Amino acid sequence: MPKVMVIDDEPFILMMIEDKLRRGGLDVVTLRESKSAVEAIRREKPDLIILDWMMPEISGINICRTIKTDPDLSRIPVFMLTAKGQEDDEKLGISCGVDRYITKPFSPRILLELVLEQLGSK
Amino acid sequence: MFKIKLIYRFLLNFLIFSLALVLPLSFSLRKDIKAVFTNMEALMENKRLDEARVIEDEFFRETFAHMMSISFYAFFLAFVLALFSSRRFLKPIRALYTGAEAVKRGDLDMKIPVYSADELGEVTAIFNEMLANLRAKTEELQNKDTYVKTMMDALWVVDNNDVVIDINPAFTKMFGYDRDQAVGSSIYDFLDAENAMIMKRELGLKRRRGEHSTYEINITAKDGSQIPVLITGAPIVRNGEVVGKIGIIKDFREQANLVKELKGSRDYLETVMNSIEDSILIINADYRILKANVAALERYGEEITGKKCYEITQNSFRPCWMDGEDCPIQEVFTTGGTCKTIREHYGEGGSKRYVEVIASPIRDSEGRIIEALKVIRDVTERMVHLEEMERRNRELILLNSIASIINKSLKAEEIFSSVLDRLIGALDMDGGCVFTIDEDARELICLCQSGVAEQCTARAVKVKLGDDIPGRVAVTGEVMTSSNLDTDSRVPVSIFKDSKIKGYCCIPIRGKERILGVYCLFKFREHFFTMEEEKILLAVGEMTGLALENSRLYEEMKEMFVTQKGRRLQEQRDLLGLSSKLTSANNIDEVVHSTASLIKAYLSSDSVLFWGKRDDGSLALVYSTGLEPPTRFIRADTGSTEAQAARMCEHVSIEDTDADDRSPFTDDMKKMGIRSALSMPVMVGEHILGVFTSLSRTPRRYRDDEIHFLRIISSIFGVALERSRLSEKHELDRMKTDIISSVSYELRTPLSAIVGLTEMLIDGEIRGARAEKYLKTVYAEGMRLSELISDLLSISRLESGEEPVRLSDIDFSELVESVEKTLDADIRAKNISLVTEVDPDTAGFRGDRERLKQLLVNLVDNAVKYSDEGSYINLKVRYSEEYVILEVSDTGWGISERDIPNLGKRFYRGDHGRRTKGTGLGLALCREIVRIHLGSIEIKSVLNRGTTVIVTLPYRRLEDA
Repeated sequence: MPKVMVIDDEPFILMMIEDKLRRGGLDVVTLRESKSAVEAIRREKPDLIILDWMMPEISGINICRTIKTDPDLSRIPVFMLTAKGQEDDEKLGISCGVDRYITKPFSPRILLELVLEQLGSK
Repeated sequence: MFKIKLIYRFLLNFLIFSLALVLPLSFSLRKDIKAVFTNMEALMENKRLDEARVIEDEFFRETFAHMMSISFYAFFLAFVLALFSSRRFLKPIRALYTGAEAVKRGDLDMKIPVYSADELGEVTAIFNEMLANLRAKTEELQNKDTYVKTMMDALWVVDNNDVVIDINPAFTKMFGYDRDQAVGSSIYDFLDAENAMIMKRELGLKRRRGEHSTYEINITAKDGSQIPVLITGAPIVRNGEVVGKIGIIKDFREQANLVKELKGSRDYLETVMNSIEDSILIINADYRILKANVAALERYGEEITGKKCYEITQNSFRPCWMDGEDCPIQEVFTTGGTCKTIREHYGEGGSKRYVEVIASPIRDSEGRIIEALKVIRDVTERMVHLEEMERRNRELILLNSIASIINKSLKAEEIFSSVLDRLIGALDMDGGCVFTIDEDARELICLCQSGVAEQCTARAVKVKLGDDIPGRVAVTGEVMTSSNLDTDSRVPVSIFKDSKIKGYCCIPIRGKERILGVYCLFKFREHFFTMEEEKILLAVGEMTGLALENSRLYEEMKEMFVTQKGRRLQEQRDLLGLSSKLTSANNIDEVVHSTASLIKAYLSSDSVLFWGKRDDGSLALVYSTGLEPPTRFIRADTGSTEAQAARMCEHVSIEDTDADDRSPFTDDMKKMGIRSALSMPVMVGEHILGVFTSLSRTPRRYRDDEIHFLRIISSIFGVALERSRLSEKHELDRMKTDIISSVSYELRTPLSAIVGLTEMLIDGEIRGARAEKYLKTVYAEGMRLSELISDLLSISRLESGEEPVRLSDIDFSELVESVEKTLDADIRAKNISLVTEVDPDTAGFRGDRERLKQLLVNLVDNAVKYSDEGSYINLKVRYSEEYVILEVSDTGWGISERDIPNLGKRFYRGDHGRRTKGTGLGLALCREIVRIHLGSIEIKSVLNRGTTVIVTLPYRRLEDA
């Protein structure tokens, strides 16, 4: 069962995504703070990561950058969740190796489809 | 003869020998005879006659016989001896004879033996001597002949008829003629016509005198060539009579060539010497000129050769060194080196020229200096040039030094005394003085003097304008100089006349438009002031005139400076104050107020107005202090000072409304009791923002510095006004974008919950208790959205000033209670102890009650939110003389240091943001509320210990504004 890791500081987002993905038949690990995110990723070795951009302490984009420059982790696809909707932000995200850029508010159904599609295509 | 003599001799010898032999014989015979006769006598006595006869007879017989034989022998012997002795006599004669024979043959190498010491021997010896002499002579002759033969020079011997008697082989060799050909020819046969004439003259001349002669002539050789020869002729004198002439002929071909060459080189040298433009003299140790080239002759005269050099060049009767001058000739002869110097020489006609003299020694073959070569180059032009340059240089130095004196000081007395000293030194004067003009008294006053002028300046402290020399110069502005004051008819009477002054020079000290004083320079000897000196002095006069003016100006300026310095300082302080006020002020009303007050104070005006320019170009009264103007609007096309200033972009002033009726607006002003006005446009770049007007009840003329000050203030104000307008606009723009971007971001998160969760609910995936949780979350996030929007609206209303501030007296006790009530539920939920403390002296603070409640609710709510359960919160309201202080402190989580500066920024939530729900707008709203109350907010916090927020609100300020 593929494992998806979700990192966001908003608990209801975590709850929502966790519920939706589990129903889609995926294993879900959630994390509410960004400080220990990279460590957790190394430990859990997820098949996909869903990251919130705006988090206190370490932003999602910095975590993504770390993942994508680590040879052990760089292959893991990263989905970036963000309230930022501007084109420039999306470009920055893509340049940092974000595989998919999902703007809030989003449909959990579409998110699940995108996740499955990403995992299936691998 | 000789034979007879010889026979005589022989006979004599024979006789002698015979006698010599016979004599002893006869003696022995006599003895015998005597013995016989004795015997016979004895017998005869004895008559023995017989016997005697017999004996006699016998004796005679015997004797006879004896005698005969002896005699024969004796004579024979004598004959032999005589023969022998004669032979000895003959031998030398024979030797002499053979000797003579040999001499006759020419054999001189013999010597005849001397056999005897007699006359013959002597003759022989003399003969030998004679032979030896003869031999020596012959040898000598032979030698001489050899010399003659081996002589290199040709030789001829000529008789009195000029016929060649003899020549030597060299002659043959030289001219090719054999001896046979030459001898017997006349000497003229060897000469062509021209040379024959020379020869004839020479011979005629010399022969008459009987002298030796040497002359050069060309002899025609056998091959026809002319051979130049030097003939040394000498007369041949015999027995006191000239019998001929011997001539030694020297081949002169080489010498002739040499002479030719020599002459050529001499000619060349002369040409060289003469073609040199410099004069060249050759002078001996006696200073006598031995030779001069053409240039020298031209310069110093044709007759200079043989004269002494100093006579020519210096018109002197003794060498230059005796007069202490450099003498290159002496130098050359004493040092042996080359000497170079520059002198003044008199040329022909007595003109004085500068020359450069280079003298170098001429040495003979042994290195002794025999003469000196003196090359003289005329450097007058150069020297004149050089002198001119030096003079110019001196002038420049002098002027420069004077300029530096003038630049160093601004005190007239100091300048003039220094300049005077410098002038006296530079022009070699004995003294001088400086007069300055007192125009009011029409007098010249001696400012300073130097040197000997003291005695006269003591009396001449003051000179009337037009009197005496300085007085005249001061009036006419013309230089006055004289080489001798005593004979100067222009000044019959002068204060300087008794002071031994002879030469003087008086020059005016010229200012820009008038004469400020006079320089006087004196000399006790007669002194002719040159044009150059006068020029310099005039220049100095002009320079120092300017300096004097500057010095006066300086004094005036200094005075002015001192009085104005305070004023300037005040201005600067005011401007600084204004500019800092303007830069710190946010409120445009405050800015106008400060500026107008400053203008009013500075210009001591009765009223200051600021008119703002409206879009249609008209002016609207924005602010007034003092008198209220009769109208609040001015049309752009009116003649008022304000409208004019705005049109012209330049200040406009009216000094006196009574006197100046240019403006129709003056009537209005008169109504106000205004007599003078100054309007200054407020501009930023080309753009006019408004006009400041200063009004005064008294007529006045605004000074330049006042106008300048007003202009500066106006421009600062203009910048401040523009800045404030720009910043207002900018702030609004920024706020809008800020709100749009932040709000859209902040709204997205709760929207995510609402959209995402409801989608899942609608899909029917979530049921039961889970669904309830979902719905609650949707509700909470919806509420958060609502809260966010209302906070945002509040802030934006406050910021834009759209919502009016509703002022009322605030009862803080009531206010605090109402806050407690509002937050009661939350406080209870967290079991927090809220302690409130309100100072009872609530003396009429006016503020917006609703806003102040919002402020306190926000602050206390924050304290509750960011504290653990059971914490303490303290709310205090204190009054001071000018402020109300609201203080909310808690024992909560505190705020990290890095978050403190960001507090109050919209949507900033800091470290604790995720632990609690919030909009991040609370503190921002608080700040806005404090701002509209003109107060300040301060946050002190220590992480994990608690936070204190202090709000300070000023009393009654709102009423002022």
